[in-house]
Amino acid sequence: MSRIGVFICHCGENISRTVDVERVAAQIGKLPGVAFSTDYKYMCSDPGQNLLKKAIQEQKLSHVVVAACSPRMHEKTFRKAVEAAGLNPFLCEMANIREHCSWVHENKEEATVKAIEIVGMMVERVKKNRVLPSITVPITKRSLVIGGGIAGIQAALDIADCGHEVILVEREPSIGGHMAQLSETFPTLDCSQCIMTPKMVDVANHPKIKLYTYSEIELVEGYIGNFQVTIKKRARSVDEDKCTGCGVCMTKCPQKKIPNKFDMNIGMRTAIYVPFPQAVPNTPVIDRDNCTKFKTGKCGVCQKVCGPGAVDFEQEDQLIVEAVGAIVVATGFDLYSIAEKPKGSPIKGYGEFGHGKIPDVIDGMTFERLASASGPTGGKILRPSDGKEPKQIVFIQCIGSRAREKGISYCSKVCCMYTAKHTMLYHHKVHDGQAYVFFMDARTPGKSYDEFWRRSIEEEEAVYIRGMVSRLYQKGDKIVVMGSDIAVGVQVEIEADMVVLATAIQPQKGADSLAQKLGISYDKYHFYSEAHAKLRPVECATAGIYLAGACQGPKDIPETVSQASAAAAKVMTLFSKDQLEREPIVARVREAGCVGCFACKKVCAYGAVEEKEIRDRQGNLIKVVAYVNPGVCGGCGTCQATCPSKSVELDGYTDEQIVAMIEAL
Amino acid sequence: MSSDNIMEYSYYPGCSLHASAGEYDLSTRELFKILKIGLTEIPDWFCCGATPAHNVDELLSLSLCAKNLELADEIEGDVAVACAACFSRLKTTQHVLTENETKRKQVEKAIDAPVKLNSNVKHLLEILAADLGLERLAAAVHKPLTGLKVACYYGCLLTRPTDVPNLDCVEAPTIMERVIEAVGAETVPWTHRLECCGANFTLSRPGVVIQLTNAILDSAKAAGADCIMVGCPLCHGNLDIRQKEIEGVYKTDYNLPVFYLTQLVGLAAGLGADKLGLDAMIVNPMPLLREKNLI
Amino acid sequence: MHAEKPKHDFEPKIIAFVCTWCTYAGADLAGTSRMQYPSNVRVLKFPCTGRIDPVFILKAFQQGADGVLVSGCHPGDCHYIAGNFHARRRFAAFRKLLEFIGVDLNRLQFSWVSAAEGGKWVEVVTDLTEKVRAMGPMTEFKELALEEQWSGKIDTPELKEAYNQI
Repeated sequence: MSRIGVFICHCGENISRTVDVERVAAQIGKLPGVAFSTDYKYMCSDPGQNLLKKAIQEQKLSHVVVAACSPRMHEKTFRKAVEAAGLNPFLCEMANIREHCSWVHENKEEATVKAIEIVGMMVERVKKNRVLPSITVPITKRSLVIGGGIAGIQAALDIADCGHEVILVEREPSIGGHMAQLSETFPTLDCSQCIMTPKMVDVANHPKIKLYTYSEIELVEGYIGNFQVTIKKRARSVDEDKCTGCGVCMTKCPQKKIPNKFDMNIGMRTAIYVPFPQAVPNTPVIDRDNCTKFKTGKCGVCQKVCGPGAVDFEQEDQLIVEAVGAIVVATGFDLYSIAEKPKGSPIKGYGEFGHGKIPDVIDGMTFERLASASGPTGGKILRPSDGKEPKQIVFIQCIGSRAREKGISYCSKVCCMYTAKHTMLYHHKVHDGQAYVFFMDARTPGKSYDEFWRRSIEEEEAVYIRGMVSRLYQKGDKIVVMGSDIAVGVQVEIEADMVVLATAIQPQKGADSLAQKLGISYDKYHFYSEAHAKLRPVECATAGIYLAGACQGPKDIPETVSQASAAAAKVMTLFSKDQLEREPIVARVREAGCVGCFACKKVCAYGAVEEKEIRDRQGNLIKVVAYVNPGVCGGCGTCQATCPSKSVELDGYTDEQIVAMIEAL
Repeated sequence: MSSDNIMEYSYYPGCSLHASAGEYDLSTRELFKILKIGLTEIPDWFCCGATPAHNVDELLSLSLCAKNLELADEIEGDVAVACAACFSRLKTTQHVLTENETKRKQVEKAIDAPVKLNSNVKHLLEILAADLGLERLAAAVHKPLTGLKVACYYGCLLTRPTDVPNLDCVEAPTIMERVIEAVGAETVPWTHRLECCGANFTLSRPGVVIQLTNAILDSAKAAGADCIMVGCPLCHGNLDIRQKEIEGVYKTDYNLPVFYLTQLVGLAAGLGADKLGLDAMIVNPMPLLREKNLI
Repeated sequence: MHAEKPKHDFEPKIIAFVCTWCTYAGADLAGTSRMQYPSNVRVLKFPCTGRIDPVFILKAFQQGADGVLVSGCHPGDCHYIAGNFHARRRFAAFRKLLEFIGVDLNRLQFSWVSAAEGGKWVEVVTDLTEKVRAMGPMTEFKELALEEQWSGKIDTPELKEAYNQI
């Protein structure tokens, strides 16, 4: 038989003004199982809490109901007091007779009757409460950062500076990402490489950062605090330990005409290469698809000229397993291509712009490479087709963005600003040139952003035309731009020398398959989804996985860096304790009843439900049942309401507890 | 209806084909006869409302098409349509009435009959390229159009708007090129394939039409085309009938014959000039066809 | 404001199943704002509407509730990502079933009340209370429950006699 203690709070006069607290205490005292029932002026005060603690010990109470304010206010207070008196905190419940009773009713009789019923319900509920031990999960204090762009670099440095080891994995041969490709950055026009490369070097030299470039995530297992990650380190064909980065191999490589992806394919590289001179690590990679040695078996010049003997044609892909406690995903973005898309793709190309076949129609990133001092033209704005300087240049914004017809309805956020920057860079380099910009809206929210945009018009003489372009076509060596100026209401035709398209920002290719490996969710465009759009913007719903940068949605550099630091802070919060402790309100599976239908797995938003094999002593498989990982469970209870065999229960909200309350009516 | 036909269609010619575009009608019927494709003209068909009706009264425009579709439903086979405007209106009506229940009910009240949306409305191009197939079309060729450089002109209505006619890619269609290349002609890549010719403004604002149509003719000529191929009577009117006038205004000389697609395909299939209505063309095609040894 | 409350012949019992993050907090806000509403409602707190088993609704009617309110976060606002969507789908099907077995669906209300909508909570509770009051008591389930209780146990002459006397 339970010995329940009930404590009715006056809350000064807040409750006792409309509820006859003494009558409530007396009535409740008569209920079976109630051993002690009293009322007190301020239960939450120190004397009130002491009264509670004393009563638990003296009356040997088994359960406690505090009838006072909302549990959202003081549940923690009273559960702590109960725990201090030696009871499990989850044997204490609160009955809300203030917000839900005394404050919303005026009639004292009605309010008193209602208060008695509310407390009565909680008494019946608390009888069914069980001891819930707190849950702890061990934490491996190492983290994995996926993606070595500015987001990944910032997150890795912040975590590593706190003294925790970081595994940084990058798909390309060098870290740096898209930011390393940019010429100057808005709104200050400082050179991207100048601010980026020191950070890249910091990563390379950091004793706590282990860098895997030319590597990809193969498999992710485990859960918060305890992930096992398999990394596929692709064969570089160059021994990183032996290579000194002297670069002789590259100067001697006979294959010199391979389009360099880093230079948006307008610059050329060799078959053994680093994507750009400041690459980190500065160890070359052999591009096996284009290397004569790999294609024909002859050549091998790089191996002959390499002093330290680092070139290794026999090198193979390696699989490396790392144990980590937290994962930051920072895989960044890719650009919409106007080329014809395969049938069935929701993204459509731009047939009206020639599907990308007009050579002097380039995208914004290609313009960045042209404008970059370290780019293929040494910073001169020259046409890819004939190397001439364009005197009339047209920039077109919102290519693919905000265009449902083309498969994307969102705004890519950074294009207005970088187009304004492009007009400035162009004006600085081609003094007698004229820049035109076709735009829908200029979206410039951000510190010093609007001023920057105004400057491109007022000081740098860019002509902004509000309207879109319907067609681009080659006419002689000009590109005819047919568009509309909706401000004036006329059709506009410009014969341009070069056209720059502000193409939409999309997630990296393969973002969906990485998400499936990680067990995180993504939207229809394959941007990763945060746990809460407003209040948990850097966490995934899957515990222990955090997001940074444009893999979550279009972002500029300051925003990306902020989010990366925020993700790092979340990782550090997790690592601040040796064990992750959490409220034991989690679902548990009754394995005897589970039929293995996994309806629970389908509705679980946290990916907490796993499949568990039950075997007999001989090791024969008897059945497969659901298992809820308590470290991952969010505690919503949707699984319980879904389970057809009632074999999963949410601790603290069991059917028994709920039905007891309903029956108390 | 001869029994050895390989396919059967109901045929909605539309008003133009019984008037200014008589040669389109004639060449269509003759071509389909040799291809063994049956065309049964929908009895009692009437105007689809063309481009004006839907600008004035949407219900009127939908009801006209819905009634025609109901009549077409009586005849077996999909509906074959030659005129780009009729094609666009019939397809739009099917789309709107499928998507919008309120409008469907209004139309049913207006035509006093249930709306029939079962028949597939098909442009001649679809029938040739997909239903018959390019291989069978090529097999029917007697006189390949070798050496004839054709500029295929789609105009506004054949492919637009996105997702409604679904004839081909909206922005970069190739169906006309595929059809005419199958019968041996050469096509030229050119820039104004999808630009508007000015359409109805030909009567109210001829200045606009002259300017727009000139850009099209200029572009086709610059691309090295011998002639233009169309699938729309209104485009044909502007490009063909207005051509002399435009040449005068812009002091230039295009001399580009404007063929309906069925005229060119029919020519390849061995039809004579009399069965193609070549005499109805304003820009005389005979010198060109003789030069290329096609007639 | 402080006029004498009208007395009614019948005071319905209303049970509200609410999620803790939105509607419970919304009801708290109604309290802190000292809004007034009929005292007929009893609130049962759940972590999420996703946890609410339709059986609880049946159970509530069986136990004498005259009206049931289910309320949670607005779509897209769920603290647990998607629990309220699962609840919405579940209850859409469940309503049909209730209708089929003859429960007047006016006795059952679903709503979204956010933590900021104290006023909406008052409105929803007041409307449902007045609607159900006008409908009168819900007797069908009570009678059914009584019969069931008896039929299982009528195995002695005494019980049989007692049953026949009802």
